[in-house]
Amino acid sequence: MSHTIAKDTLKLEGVCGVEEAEEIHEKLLEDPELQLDLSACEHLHAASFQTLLAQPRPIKRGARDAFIKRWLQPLLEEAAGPKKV
Amino acid sequence: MDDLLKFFVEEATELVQKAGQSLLVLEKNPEDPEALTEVFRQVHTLKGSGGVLELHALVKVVHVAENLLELAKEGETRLDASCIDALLEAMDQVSAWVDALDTQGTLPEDADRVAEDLAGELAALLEAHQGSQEAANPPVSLADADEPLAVEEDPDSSEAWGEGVNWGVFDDPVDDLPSPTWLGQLDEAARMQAFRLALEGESLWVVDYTPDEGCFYQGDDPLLNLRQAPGLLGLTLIEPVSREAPEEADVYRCQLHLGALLQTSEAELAEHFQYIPEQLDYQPLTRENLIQPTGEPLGMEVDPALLDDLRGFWENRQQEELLERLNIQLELLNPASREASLLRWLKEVTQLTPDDALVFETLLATLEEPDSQLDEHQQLDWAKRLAAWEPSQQTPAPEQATEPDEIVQALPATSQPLLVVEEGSEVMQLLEDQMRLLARCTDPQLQEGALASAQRILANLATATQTRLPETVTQATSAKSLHQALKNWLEGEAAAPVKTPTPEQPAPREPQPESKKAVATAGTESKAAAPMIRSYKVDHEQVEQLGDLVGELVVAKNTLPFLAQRAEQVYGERRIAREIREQFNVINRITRALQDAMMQVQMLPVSHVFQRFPRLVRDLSRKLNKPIDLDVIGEDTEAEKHVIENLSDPLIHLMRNSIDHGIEMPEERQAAGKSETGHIRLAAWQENEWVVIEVADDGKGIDPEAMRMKAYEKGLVDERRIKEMSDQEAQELIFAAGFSTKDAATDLSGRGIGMDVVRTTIEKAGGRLELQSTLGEGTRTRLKLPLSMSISQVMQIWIEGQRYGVPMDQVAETVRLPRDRLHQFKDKETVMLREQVLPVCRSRQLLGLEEPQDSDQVALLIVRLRGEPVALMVDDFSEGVEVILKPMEGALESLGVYQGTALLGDGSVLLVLDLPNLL
Repeated sequence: MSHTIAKDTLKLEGVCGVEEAEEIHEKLLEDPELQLDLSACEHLHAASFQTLLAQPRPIKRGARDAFIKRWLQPLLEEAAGPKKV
Repeated sequence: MDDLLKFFVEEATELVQKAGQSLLVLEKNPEDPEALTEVFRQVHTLKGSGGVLELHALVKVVHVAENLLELAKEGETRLDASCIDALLEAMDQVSAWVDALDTQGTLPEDADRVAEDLAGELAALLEAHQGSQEAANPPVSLADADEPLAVEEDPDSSEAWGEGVNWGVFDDPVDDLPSPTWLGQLDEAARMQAFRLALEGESLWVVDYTPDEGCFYQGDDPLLNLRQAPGLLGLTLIEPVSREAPEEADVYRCQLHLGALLQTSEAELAEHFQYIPEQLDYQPLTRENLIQPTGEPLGMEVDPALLDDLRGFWENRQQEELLERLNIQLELLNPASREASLLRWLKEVTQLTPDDALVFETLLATLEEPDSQLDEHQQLDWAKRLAAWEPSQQTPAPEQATEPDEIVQALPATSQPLLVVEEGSEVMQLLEDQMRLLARCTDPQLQEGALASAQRILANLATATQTRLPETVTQATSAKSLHQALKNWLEGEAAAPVKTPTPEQPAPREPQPESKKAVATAGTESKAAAPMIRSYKVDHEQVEQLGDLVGELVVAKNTLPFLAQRAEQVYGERRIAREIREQFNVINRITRALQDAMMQVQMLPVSHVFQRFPRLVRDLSRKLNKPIDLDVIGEDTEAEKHVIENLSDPLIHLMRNSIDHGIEMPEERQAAGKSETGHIRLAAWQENEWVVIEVADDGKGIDPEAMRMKAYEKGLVDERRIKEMSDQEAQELIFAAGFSTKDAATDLSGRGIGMDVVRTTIEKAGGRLELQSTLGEGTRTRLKLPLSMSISQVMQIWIEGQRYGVPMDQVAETVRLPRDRLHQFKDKETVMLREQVLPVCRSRQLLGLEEPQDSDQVALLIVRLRGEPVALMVDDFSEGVEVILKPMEGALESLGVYQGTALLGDGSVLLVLDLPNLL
């Protein structure tokens, strides 16, 4: 797993493990404008999920993984508030 | 004692104790809502249980107490000091009665009189407080105060006891499973899918998952657990994750509180979460809880005509028309609105459970008047509705009733037993009502409606009571024939003897035709009937017996090395001996684990002893007019039950001493530059294999000079010894037998036998006592007790060919020295060991045995007594063993030489020396 930052977007890839949580936390703190790309994420560890909930961001590209897409993404979107049109 | 009484004693003891604690909290903060609710609940339960056992005196007192608390709980009055005093007094009395019940099985003879007085006292307070209410509230008389508590009770019960008391039995909702309100947060699609599955009879479980805060460190991933959970149908956050100060947040502290809905069996569920059962609460799904409206309100009333249409179609079972109307309306409304959500559910319910009147009517009512139906979370409280639901008996307007044939089909199958109607029962009334209705309607059009209505009610009645009606009744096709059939049936019924009991009321749930729906509920109910039991209530004697058996096992295990030795030495079987030893190692490991587990079971927090002290300090400080603050620290520290029991009496002595002798009067304190309020610290902590309890006060401390004087006056020590004594030693004279420095003994701390007893009790229990006192600054006493007392380590020594034991924790070391290292110093024998002079005691001398022939070497056991090393001369040492120490009984107990006896692996008895007493 890994995560990359490109064009103000934090892209999570593969299995996002517990060790990632701290780094995600820092990245989000550094850049309040950072958006999320979950399209390549295969699993989100609870620690990382919790971090994303604590600093909710708009989701630029949604998840393809069924579990994340069906259950976690709506919670992340709800936390981020209504989309800006 | 019968089981019920035994259970009551157990329960009541706990309740009274907790009520007492809550009252003390209330004394400091009379409006603490939590403490108020707590104490109210405890008193309420006491009353209920007491009522069951017909303990009238007890109930009388708690009843008035409850009313007083009720008044305070409702915010109508404040509990002042006199109330708290009276309530505490009531609790003390109840506690005394419970003790009497425990020992004698009945209340004392004067109980009624005492109850009368106490209840009168409380009632006077109650009246005074009711009088103090604002003028806006009309005063409530004592009898009226029952009202807010009144539950649906059998009117006979209170009359029979003649006191108009609500016994409050079985109405305590505290133990009910809370219905999971978060289900409504799941998206509607997920809920509808689950609803359909529930109706199909699938087993669905509602899981409340609170992962441990440190679970990430244990390699646990709650989301992976849920991703892999069987049959996940829904997942949501029960509580939102905090977004406050993200820069300070600890990312590795799990804050998630998750709710999940699973389609699985209980067994599978338990297996999947088998490693984290404590983080999980689960219950079978009540499918109605899924039906929750979502979305924002439209902000305008729903067209009443629409509601009438829907209701009419439903009542006439015009399902197609109903669905069409719903579909049209749904197209008109904003799909994100709350109304649209309600309509979608109506549609769902119409299609799936067209007979569920409760759900249908609730949804319609919510459309009509959302504010009166929805709770503060904008949700429908189904638990309340399901409990309160009784089938509607309103008759539809006759002109709406059509197609009676269709309704008749809903009558249940004939395999059910015939409905038996008892004279005067509600069923009888219901049937008579139908007959009156049928008889009254003479207009043919009205008759048709009345027939339909009566048939429907009869069908409902039959399904609710799971019985069938006579064929003459079910097959009647006109109002007249039905009336006749009913009449015949009831008359015949009245003549025939009643064979089977009939439920007096229709079941509270909406009657359902035999359908898959009934199967669905039956499925979930059987699951609900087998809740997971997480803790046992076991009588302490059983646990102790188990503990004794474990102890015996430990001793029995110790016979194996002896056996191995015999096999080798007596029978010359070295291989067998080796195998026995190998087996011994296995058994040894297991018994150790067993012993540890057993010890864990018997561990109790010291709060069991500590909890009485806030009350003690309060009472004494009032009595003596000394304001005192008590700090209790480390209540959670655990120790074995026996240790806790042993602690109790000495601690009371120490506390009383601190309050009575330690803390000065406020004037004295002020003069000494201290705060007027005295402080006592009661702390507990664990130190290796010991539990340490400390009582520290900031009082006047112990004056060593006064101690010396006193001891001399009492003739406890001679003049020479007084001069030699260090201040510490002088202060420790407080533990000497027959010592008291306060001339006038109060009724609080004793007459100079207290501290002496404290020391003996603690030392008997294998503990130690340490005293540290500074004049003018305070006194600190520390009790050190072993965590566990059941199994002790004992060092074996030989004296005159006999084996004796010495508790291992007293042994500092063993040394063998040439005899010439012993020196005579005045009348004492001493030995120089590592530049320290130790007194030597000859064990033979202590036991009254003859001295042996002088040998070149002496064996010295260095023991520590009250911190001082002493060399005990013995014949020889042997290895240490684990034994169960049994105290001496009968005449041997007063001997003061032996602490106890223990059975050794080879069957011999080991006498364990009581060194503190001997030396």
